[in-house]
Amino acid sequence: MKAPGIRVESNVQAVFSPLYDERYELPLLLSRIPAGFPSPAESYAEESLDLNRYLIRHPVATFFVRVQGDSMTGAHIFDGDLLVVDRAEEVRGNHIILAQIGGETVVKRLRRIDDQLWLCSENPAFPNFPITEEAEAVIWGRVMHSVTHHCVMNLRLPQSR
Amino acid sequence: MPSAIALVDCNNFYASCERVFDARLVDRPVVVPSNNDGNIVARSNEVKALGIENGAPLFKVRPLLEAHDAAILSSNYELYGDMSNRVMTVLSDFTDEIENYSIDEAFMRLHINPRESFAEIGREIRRRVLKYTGIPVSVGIAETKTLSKIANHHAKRSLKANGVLDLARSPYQELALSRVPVADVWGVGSRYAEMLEARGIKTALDLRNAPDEWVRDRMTVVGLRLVQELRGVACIPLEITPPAKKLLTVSRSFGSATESYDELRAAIVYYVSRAAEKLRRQKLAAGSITVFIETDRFKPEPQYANAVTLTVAPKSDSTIELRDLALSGLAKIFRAGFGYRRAGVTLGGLELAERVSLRLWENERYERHRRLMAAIDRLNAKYGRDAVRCGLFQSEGVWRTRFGQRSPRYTTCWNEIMWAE
Repeated sequence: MKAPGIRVESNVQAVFSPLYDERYELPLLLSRIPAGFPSPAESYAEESLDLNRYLIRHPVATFFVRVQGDSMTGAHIFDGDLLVVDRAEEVRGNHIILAQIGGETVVKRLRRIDDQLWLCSENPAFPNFPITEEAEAVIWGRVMHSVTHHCVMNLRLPQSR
Repeated sequence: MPSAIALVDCNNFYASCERVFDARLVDRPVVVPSNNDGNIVARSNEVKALGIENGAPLFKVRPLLEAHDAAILSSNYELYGDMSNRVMTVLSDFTDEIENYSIDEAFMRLHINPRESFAEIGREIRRRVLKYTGIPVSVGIAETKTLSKIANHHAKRSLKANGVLDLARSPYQELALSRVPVADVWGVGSRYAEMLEARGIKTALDLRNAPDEWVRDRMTVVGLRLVQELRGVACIPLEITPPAKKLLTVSRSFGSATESYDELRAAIVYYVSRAAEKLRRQKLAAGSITVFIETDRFKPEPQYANAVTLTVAPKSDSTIELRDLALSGLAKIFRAGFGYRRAGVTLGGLELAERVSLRLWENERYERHRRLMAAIDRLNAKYGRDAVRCGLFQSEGVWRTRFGQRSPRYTTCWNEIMWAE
């Protein structure tokens, strides 16, 4: 239900769950394909670097979110970026957070100004929103990382819901 | 340490999953119809308040739903499955003894120390699941599974309980039982419910107070078990959900081929050590061990590969026991005169170590092993891998890839990746 007097434009496209690949847990005898070229690196698979581990502190509470729009460019968060959002983290002032307000999901910086909490854009062309009772705002999680793509992403993403 | 059973049940699970991600659905009635026949399989509280029953055909209730601005969503089982996994994983932080009873329910055995109460733990479970996943849950706590269902029934409905009710050794148990219709008791099917009501047994309390003989005659021993559970006598054990991992493999290609039996033995001991460490870290024990060796398939030389699987009985997590078995397996498959390029071990039949049945004999020796392994794991955690090792394993040898004056591990080690200016 939209609160009266508040118009929020969602700047989040879609929310996804990380996929934790279990490829290293297959026994090699079973996983081996009889024909084909062997990978010289295969036997060191378990020592490879895992971005999930690097970027995710609480797997069960972490969600991936894609950004839409330019309201947070001042915080180096750009249209099309991927956010790593952790619900388990405590949120405080000045954190960049994912929030729901007026039925929309937004990424904003949380600020406390004179005992009033605000969801602030990091782009002068975009508005800030006070967190008031009528606004029905929910702080959803803390934005831990944003992934900016410096190439054309040819991902076939799951349908946005 | 006192223990009790908690039933954790997600409130309106499918609707709650949808609301986590779409704030516009909060406070609106939400229904999820089934995929094929269009019967309602999930209802938010607002829909329940409209008097719409579970299983109702969508076409019949659609006008009512639309009049109340309801959201009719098609089911998204991928989302529900993922959210269910998250909830269950949060729950497993509180106890190892957990039974994932359905997509949105779990029984757990809770242990407390004298300073805590079950209700406090219940509230912490509720708080953490809500914070981590956004899913609200109700927690019912009591002596038995059947009673924990009763506690949950009230936890969900009572405003005062606020989602958590502890009925274990509680003076309110009778009152709680008297307010649950017999048809809603876990395990009482609709036919038994009809029979019981016809004979004046209308509530869970009436059923609890029915004489044993009477219950056995009409509801068999299964019914008697149920009644015992209502009396606080645990008869239905937790069916602890086994860990997802069933196999654990450690294997490597050698730096160069070897024909040496001793070097293969040393390699196998090294791999078993690694695998057993992982096993103990996950508090598992293995029921089988597979040893495999093979030559370099891409060299124009005589080829040989073989594997053998041996039973570990009783199941074990001791490096010493697993090593001895692995070496006897290697002896069975080793053939002289081949250049071996790869070997490994796979542990199977994994089970939580504490669930493995007690050994009738040799228990003392096994306990000594376990203490020794725990000590070795602690030392290695403190002083680095292989600071302490279980015999027969050299730190050098062709089976271990040689590094020499190696360049930085640009792609496999965070401390050694490339710099750019």
